[in-house]
Amino acid sequence: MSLLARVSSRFHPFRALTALALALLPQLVRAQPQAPPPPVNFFTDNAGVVPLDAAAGIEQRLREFEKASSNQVLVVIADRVPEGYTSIEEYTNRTAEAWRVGDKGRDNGAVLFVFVGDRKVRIEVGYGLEGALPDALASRIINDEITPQFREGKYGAGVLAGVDAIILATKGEYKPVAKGRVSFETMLIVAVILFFVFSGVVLPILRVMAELSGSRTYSGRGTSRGRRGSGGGFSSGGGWSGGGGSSWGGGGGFSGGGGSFGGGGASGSW
Amino acid sequence: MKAIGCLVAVLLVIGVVGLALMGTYNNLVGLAQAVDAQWAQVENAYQRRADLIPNLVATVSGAANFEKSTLEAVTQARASVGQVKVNPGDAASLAEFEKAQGGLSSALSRLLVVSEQYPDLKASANFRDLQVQLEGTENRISVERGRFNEKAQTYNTAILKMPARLFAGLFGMKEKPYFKAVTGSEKAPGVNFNFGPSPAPAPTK
Repeated sequence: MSLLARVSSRFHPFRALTALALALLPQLVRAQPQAPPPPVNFFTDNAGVVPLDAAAGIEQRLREFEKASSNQVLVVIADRVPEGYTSIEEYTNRTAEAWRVGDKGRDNGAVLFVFVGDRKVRIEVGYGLEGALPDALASRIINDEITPQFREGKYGAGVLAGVDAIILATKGEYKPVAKGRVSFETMLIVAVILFFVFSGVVLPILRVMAELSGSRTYSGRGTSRGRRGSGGGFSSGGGWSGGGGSSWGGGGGFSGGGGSFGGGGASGSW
Repeated sequence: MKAIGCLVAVLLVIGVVGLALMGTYNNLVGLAQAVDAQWAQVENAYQRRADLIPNLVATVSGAANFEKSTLEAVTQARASVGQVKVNPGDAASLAEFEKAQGGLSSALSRLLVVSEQYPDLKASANFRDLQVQLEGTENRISVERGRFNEKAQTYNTAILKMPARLFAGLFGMKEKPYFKAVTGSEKAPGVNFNFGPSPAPAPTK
């Protein structure tokens, strides 16, 4: 309380106005509110209209879809479009862009926004999915799959039908890239390089060292021992790849990959 | 010896200043390139809208005695948009481009308003898709315009800041003009005209 009183006693209207004007100066071209922080899950229900088990099912589906196709599809349910935006489209585009949904370069993200209080829904489509999910199709998904269910109050079923339709439309568009996991080809190349380096550099050195230290028979044994050793190293590499795979499978939740949005998609209401 | 020392010091200072200026200049070049790239995106979005128009005109004129003057206004506006040669670095040229595009915007929104009176047209899936595509294109235009203004602002701020301010003019780096905010003049007039075949009264409007 005392802190509050001190602050308010120091409050100076003229100084505050000047500070405000200075703060606003760089934003003369386009004054914009900050986009909300990115969600941690693929499915976020801030309005609390979708039952928990349905929410878990949708979350699961979206995670599996990202793993299978690399496309990031998000669902965000809120009560209303925040103040300060001229339209729902402006808000959804800014938000999806700020969350960087989809991969960088591929821009393969899409976000289904639902505003329960405004009775509005929008599918925001990233640049890279505009071909697979054009505006007309997004509009049909909204009007044929989503809003008929919403009108009856079935939010979970409506979102699920919309998500399924979006997944169906964008399924074949991109192939996943193995993030964090070393592919079999890379392993093979590394193994071949290691083999050549070993046989070309390490073995001659061993041989020279053996020759320097003494008898010829001993050097031959050293060579065979060296080869066996290299084989063991290769098989232990296989075990390492298994470890990478399990950490990939355990990774969950949403993290933006750098995708960009150009205002594609469609809006609807119910 | 002393003279040589001085010379070395002066050369060093010139070198350091030169390097700093080069860094600033390179930065400005990058920012100018970003503005140009964003301009290409803006043109893309406008081109996308222009490409929709032949299809739209064909669909609408297929509807029974659709109002001719509305269609002609769209076709004309589309043609005049095609004639504008625009230089995004020049304020007058950009204003002319905006005026032509704004003419097309208002002709199009007028057409959409008039089409409300043709229930058969509104019921056709083809027309509904076109309408969604038009809305999507307008949205893309506003997104790309907004980003153009942001990039231009970053660039303009950079060339007005202190070290750059001294030499940006020497390299012909001028301030880039902005798109004006969309004013009410571009929005559709909210009036219904009573002409053409009298349709059934709309239930809620």
